[in-house]
Amino acid sequence: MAETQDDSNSESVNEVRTLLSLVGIELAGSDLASLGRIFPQFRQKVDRMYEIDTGDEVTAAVFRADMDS
Amino acid sequence: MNNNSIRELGTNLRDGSTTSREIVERALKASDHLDPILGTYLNRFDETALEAADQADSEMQSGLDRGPLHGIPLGIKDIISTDEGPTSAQSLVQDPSWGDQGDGPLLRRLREAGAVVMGKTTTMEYAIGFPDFDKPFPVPRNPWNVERWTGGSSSGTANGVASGQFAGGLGTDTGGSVRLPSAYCGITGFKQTFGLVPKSGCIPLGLSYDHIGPMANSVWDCAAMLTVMAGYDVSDRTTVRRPPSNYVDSLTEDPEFGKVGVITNSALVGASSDQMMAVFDDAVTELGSAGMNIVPFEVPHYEALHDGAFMALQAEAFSWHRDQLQDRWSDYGRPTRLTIARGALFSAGDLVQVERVREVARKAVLAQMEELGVEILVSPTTGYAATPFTGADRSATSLAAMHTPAWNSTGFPALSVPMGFDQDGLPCGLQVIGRPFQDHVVLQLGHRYQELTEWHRQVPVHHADLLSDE
Repeated sequence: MAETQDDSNSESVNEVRTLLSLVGIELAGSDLASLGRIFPQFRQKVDRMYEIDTGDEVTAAVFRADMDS
Repeated sequence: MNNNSIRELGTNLRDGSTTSREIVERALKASDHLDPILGTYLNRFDETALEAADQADSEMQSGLDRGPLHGIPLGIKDIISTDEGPTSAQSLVQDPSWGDQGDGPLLRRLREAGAVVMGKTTTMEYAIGFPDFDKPFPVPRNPWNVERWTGGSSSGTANGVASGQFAGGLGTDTGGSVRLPSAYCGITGFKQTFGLVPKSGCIPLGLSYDHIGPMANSVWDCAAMLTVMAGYDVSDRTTVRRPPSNYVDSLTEDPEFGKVGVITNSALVGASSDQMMAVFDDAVTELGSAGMNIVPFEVPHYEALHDGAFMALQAEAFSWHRDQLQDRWSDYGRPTRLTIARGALFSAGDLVQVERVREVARKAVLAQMEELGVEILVSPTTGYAATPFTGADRSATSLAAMHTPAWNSTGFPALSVPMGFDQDGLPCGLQVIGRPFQDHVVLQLGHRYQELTEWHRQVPVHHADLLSDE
């Protein structure tokens, strides 16, 4: 069980490292470990957004002067 | 008893029992003593504040009265630029020349209304994150108990108002940063409808979630500030063109509360302490006793609105900070850089989905309010009162214990007013939420509540009276 958790954590750390590397941030050490720890739950929350039926809805409209006038 | 309200100071200024100079001098004296304890200011503008106070007195004596803010001392969160000095965002990263732009439209409006700018107040770095003891900036402390946090991120404005170092001020609210410190410090703070107040001259965090809001000692005071602050400005295309409103006058109009919905979502109630819910129940009972029709209300897609606010604001913040994160990662405080970096951990498609959910949820909440005849929603502002700097219960510091960000997602107006104290004597906040551009209704209910209660008049241990030298 412990091995599975380690693997999972190591996988998350690798994913975070890759994603940040893509945007020009090379991370190591405790900052990378910290983001790796929260990544699975973070990803779960993102995926949960797709469980809501959004149909053909467009992105949120900001109330804007040029729309309101 | 709190004598520092804008309303009360204004009465005393107009009946000649004090002057703006006297008020400002008392405020400066209070800060000499309290600022080192509470970490309120990053930059004080003593000299220009006194000049502005003299100008206000001179105008008042010559018969020019600019309204409720005339001669009133205000603190400005240090992510908003002002003419007097640099804007640091409480960060080693921020280029000080950014603040060379000086006053934005909001500061110009406040000065035109006679307000006295006292200085720039502490924040969490770039208005995000948590107290950071590793960087060379003051850590803001709670005037009710200095071992507790003020809440963030408009921390210095909140503890400055609560402690009597100024009568009101500006905070910014992207996920709750006006309402949370207002609740923790026992003051009143308002995040008006998105688009009502221009944000130019403010360092952005989440571009479509940011609001600059008033913080003060009462709803009346916030209404007086909002009356000056609201209105279209060409420099911010997210501001709306609407006729000007006098939010103070509307406080005494016939209320239009309809039904008041008590938020029952388990994600909110389950993330609140029993003590907080007991204080909240008392507040709801008080509203019921005043004749309001109280009904339960389950907010549709509440968790999506809550979680989505954090995701999207982190992505929006990342877009602003990316280049500096690449070059100066370690110069950012750890809580700040780790929070903003999350904005790079999901895809562009994911962000679009968050924004589509945001729109679906916003419409669903409005439809349900319409269907049930509910004009106003209420909840505790936070699940717990002010947390200690060390050893806090994880539940109390979790994002779930913030009951504010859903209303940044919808853009609806949301107010926090003091509603009592927890078992440790720390203030608790009541959040009042309304429909878009029904800001006056939210303020009316908050004002009515403050007519019925005395919670907003309580003062903390660390406090100065701006009307007395005692």
